[in-house]
Amino acid sequence: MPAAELLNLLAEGLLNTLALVAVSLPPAVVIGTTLGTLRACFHGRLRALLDAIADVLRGLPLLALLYAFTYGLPELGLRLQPLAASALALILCSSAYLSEYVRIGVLSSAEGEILAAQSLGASRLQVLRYVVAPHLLKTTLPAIANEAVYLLQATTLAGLVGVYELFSAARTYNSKYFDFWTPAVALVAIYTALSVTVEKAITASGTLGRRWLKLR
Amino acid sequence: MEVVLEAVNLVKRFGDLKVLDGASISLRRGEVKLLVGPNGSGKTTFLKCLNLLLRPDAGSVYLEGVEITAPGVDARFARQRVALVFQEGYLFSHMTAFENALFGPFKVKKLPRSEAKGLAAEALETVGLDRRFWNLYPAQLSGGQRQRVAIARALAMEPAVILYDEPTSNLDPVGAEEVAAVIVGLARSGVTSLVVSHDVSLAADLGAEACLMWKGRIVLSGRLEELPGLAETVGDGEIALFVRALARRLEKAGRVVACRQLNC
Amino acid sequence: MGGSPQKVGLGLRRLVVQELLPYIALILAGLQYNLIIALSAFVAGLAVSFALSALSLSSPQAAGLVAMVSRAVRGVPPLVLLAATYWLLFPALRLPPDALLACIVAFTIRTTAFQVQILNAAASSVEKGQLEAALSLGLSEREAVLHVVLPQSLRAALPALFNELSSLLKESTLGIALGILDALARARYVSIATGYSLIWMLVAGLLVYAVSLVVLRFSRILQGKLAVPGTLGAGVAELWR
Repeated sequence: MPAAELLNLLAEGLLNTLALVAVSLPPAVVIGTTLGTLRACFHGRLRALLDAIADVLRGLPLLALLYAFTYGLPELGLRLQPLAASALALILCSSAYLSEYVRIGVLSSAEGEILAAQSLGASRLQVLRYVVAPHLLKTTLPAIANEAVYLLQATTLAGLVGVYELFSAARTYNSKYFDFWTPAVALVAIYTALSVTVEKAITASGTLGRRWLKLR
Repeated sequence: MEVVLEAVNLVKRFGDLKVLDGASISLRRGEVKLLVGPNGSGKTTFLKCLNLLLRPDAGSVYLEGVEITAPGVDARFARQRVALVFQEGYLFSHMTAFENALFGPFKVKKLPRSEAKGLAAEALETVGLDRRFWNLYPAQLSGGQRQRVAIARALAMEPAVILYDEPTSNLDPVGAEEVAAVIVGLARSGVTSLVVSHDVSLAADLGAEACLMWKGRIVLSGRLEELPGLAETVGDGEIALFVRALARRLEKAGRVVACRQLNC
Repeated sequence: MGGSPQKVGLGLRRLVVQELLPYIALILAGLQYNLIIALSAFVAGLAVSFALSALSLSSPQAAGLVAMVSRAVRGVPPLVLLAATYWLLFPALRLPPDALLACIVAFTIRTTAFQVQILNAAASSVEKGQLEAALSLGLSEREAVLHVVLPQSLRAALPALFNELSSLLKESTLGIALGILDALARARYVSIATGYSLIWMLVAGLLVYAVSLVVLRFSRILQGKLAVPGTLGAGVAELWR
């Protein structure tokens, strides 16, 4: 029966989509935040190098990265599962974007307070810990939520390099029953629901994080 | 009396713009100086070079005899000894007033907690902030209170010099009066101070030697009353215009100046 | 491998000219599709979002509706939008199954949703005082928006709009799903033919990156030319020295 089969296919696709997001988002947040803070804090050659890396990773089309990691890495001797290869590409791409948001966020939100802390003679580390970190949570949260939604949508591209995610499921159904309307509607509904959930989850964890910091 | 802070021919460029063009100043221990000048003359940049928030492209700064602009000198050492109070205050918004004052001695100087708390309390009392407000956050304080906490934050570091960058410009009349009283009080008690300000009543109350900054250099210095006379000697019409305007405002504030003899 | 250095050198040159150059030319030629899709969608989207933004400014109900619809469209993954346009929209409108046209239409829809958001944000970033000042000078609401708010909001929107163009350039690579032989698709085929994947993917990716760098350069120049003298900030704080 087509309906039951559709549900089965979608379930399998959903699993992989969620797996991809779950595996890619946390590392991307960690790397991106660290990279962004470093870029905001340092000048000189290290900074130029980090800037260049972030710019290139942002400037390359995601699909090119996905192809490069899925088909290109084996040439270097690294054979990864499609999911792992795609996750790697997504992590790199998202980290680059996040680092840019964090960099701008750090500089713009707490500029005066950073100046005041430096003026008191605080070291870079002290400024980071006592001035920047408390502000980061507030300012970068919307950016992280935004990037998370983008990551969710980017999982469809992974479908082009071998990951059986939601879009692949839709295409399988279409090729069997010649009906794209049903899966398309289902897809839109699912992605919308997922986006809303992801956004809410991130803002909620942000509030929790802020409360936890204040308790200290 | 020994010289605490001295700047010699500081030059600073931002891209094509030369903001400081050979600015020099010297402050002896206990001395109080006023820095005036039009917007864009480089006053804020100058202050920031004095505590090494910015590094001058040329020229030197000496703190208690040590050349802090020499390569290899840790900027943090200079900044702990030369305090800067900003126009906007820039209090740490996620810390209470007390924690703001505590930050310097406790976290930067790494003094033992009890000693740091003592310094913070003393500083807050000096600026006249009632104990009731010590546990409030900056957003809950008035502008005048915030700026006083900013001064306390600087005081708690027991600096050799305090630089003030337009401390009253962002405040309403009540706040400005409170802060001006604190600054004048500190100056009278012997704290070496350099005050950049447009605030005429603050300038009048300080009764300090005034330096006029123009296009990146200090072109005149003398007692406030003497400035108009000196301006005439410099000749540049614009400078004379500025000084005369300043003199007129001082006159209105109750300080009679030699302005009358010059047909301002 | 024997032979004098000269023979080896000749061999290398033959390798580059006879083997690599045709492939590179092939991939380079594919860029035209990326450009066509990105530019067409951008311009068309700009026209539509301009109208929608003006509509939003004049009527709060329209603004709410536009915001809701654009939010919904932004929530659809681009690949799904592409497929839906080609497999659902075109047959429904009885349009011929032209992959390139479908791409352009799909990306126009997508970029409109983003551009409306950009233009509205830019319009609201113009200080309210500007509008009030214009109105108190006696300008009608329409004149005030046209002569005071719009020029300033366009200036404010420029960086974000060019950012969107860069995004479009990168997303145009999705055309491969509909069979469009853009730079990346051709690189894929070349890598299958030559057996080397990593390098060709990077070549295609870097080519697209290079084009977006040109766009960025153009954006900066345009911003410089259109900026009001004195507004491009003079000293930015040199932090961390």
